[in-house]
Amino acid sequence: MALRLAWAYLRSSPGRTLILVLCIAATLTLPIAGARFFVVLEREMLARADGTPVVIGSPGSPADLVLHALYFAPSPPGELPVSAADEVRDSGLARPVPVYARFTAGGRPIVGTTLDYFDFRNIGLDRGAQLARLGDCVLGWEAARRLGVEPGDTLASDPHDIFDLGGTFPIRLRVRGVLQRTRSPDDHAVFVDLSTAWIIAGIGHGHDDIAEIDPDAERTDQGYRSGAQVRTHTMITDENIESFHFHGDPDTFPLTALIAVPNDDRARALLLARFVSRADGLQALRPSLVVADLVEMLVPVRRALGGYSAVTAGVALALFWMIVALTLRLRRSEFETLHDLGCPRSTTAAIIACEIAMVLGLGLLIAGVVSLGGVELSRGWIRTMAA
Amino acid sequence: MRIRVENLRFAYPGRGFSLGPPPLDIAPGQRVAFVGPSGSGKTTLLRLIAGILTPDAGSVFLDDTEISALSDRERRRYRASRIGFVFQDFRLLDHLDVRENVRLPLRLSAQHRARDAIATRADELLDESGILTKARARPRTLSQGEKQRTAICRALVTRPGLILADEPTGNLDPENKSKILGLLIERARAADATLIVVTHDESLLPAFDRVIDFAQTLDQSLDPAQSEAR
Repeated sequence: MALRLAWAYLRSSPGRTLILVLCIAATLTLPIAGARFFVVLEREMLARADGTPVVIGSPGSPADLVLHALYFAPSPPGELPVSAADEVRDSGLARPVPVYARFTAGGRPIVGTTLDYFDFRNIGLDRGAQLARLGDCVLGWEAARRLGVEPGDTLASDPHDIFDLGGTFPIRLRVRGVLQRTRSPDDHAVFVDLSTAWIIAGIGHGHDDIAEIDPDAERTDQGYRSGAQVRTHTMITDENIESFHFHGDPDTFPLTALIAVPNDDRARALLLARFVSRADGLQALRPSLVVADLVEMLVPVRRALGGYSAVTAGVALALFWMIVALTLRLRRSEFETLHDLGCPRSTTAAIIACEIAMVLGLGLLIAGVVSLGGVELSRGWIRTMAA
Repeated sequence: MRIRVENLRFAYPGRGFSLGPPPLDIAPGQRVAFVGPSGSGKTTLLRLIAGILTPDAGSVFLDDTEISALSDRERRRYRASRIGFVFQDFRLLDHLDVRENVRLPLRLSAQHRARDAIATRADELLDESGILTKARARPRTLSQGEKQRTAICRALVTRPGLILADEPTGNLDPENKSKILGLLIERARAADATLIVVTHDESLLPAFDRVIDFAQTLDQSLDPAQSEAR
């Protein structure tokens, strides 16, 4: 009875009811969305961190190192030698997963690693094939979609520095496969073999055989000195792959981070201990602790938003109460009529309560759908934020 | 329904108006008009009989029930199921359509909650009153006559034993006045209900079995000074 009359009243003036409901929804949306946003942000940040047991890297900011190892943050920290990975492997305490992510292709981070990375993150192929040789790449699901490339296409690395005329050329990569969607930063990355990443960095390269191209080339102690007619290859093909080679000590080739997957908790503790106060300054970190510290930094922001929300909600409630009070005054004769017809005061109160509950409920429902739906739709963006 | 009023005394607190009518006995099925000048207490007595107001002293009996002695909750229940009320200014609820306005007392009355009965009873009355075609209309779109017909249907829908009408023709043009009063009397007769109508219009009085003139027969006062002196 009360519900029927309340609904009839609200339905009789749809415009007025809609405005009231939308005002309440608008007031509630920000606090709900804000609260949900922080929950999702924390969850996203911690989930990735919890799935990465140990990160080893150069001296510097732990946060920079962890964010780079987890999210391939665009400004990589310093470098560590690839020999650190051998050291971890040789210790028997953990499985090393190297990461060298200093360059981009189509704006997406190029992550130089080994096939162990895909096992560690448990990422399979959606289509195509895995990395097979130098110059191959596999793309994260979202990167492939955004760049519009498929297995069989090619993808060029972005120039390092357009003002560095003597620098290395961009390398055209052969797209071998596209990874399954993981809804993680891996979806946005371009994965290459570590050696390919070093070629993009200019540590290795391939070029024409100087002796063949330039018979007048001068032979020196270190090799040939030749003219400009010797071409440097910008794409690794089956024909020229043999010409690619590296210069320098392979043990010193760089990584930007090293993920270590310990055998067990004890092995993790021992591994972490090995990287305390080292002469080379390398540090080993537990990402979950570093990210938890970062999440702690969000607390003041969260509190400020909570305070603002409380004030807004208070003002909105006061306004709503004023509207209800004015409405009740305008409807006094309606309630008197109901009473004169035999309607109990309790039913009249129930009608008012139902109307308020319906308006607040509808407002809350819309606010919930908009804010929670909005946050869900923005998960990708939140992940980017988290990175 | 038989109505008896005995030794009734009522005063609005702080308004200097008191009502003390002589004993009154209205036979079942009688059609009675309350006439008299404005402020003479006609509407107050009507509201006392309906149990909307409670007397300071004395009793109001509806058949064997002393309505003035009932609790507020009991009077409300009694009113919802046994008394039909027609107001001068119609007092239809604007957010309900005509049909739902007529059904309202049925929904309020515990005795008439059967869904089918609610649906058919209201439409029967609307049909008999010639406004079934307006069943889905909102009250604000109706003419004055249609509004009062709706109000009469609302008063009759619970098949009450007593119908109280407070100046039901006060806002109507002469042609509609006689039509509406005719409808009210006819419907009351058909329902075998007692009818009490408050009216200023002497031209309507011949339609009633009995006329009670508040200016001559009832002990009342309008003047605050007089009431206080008394």
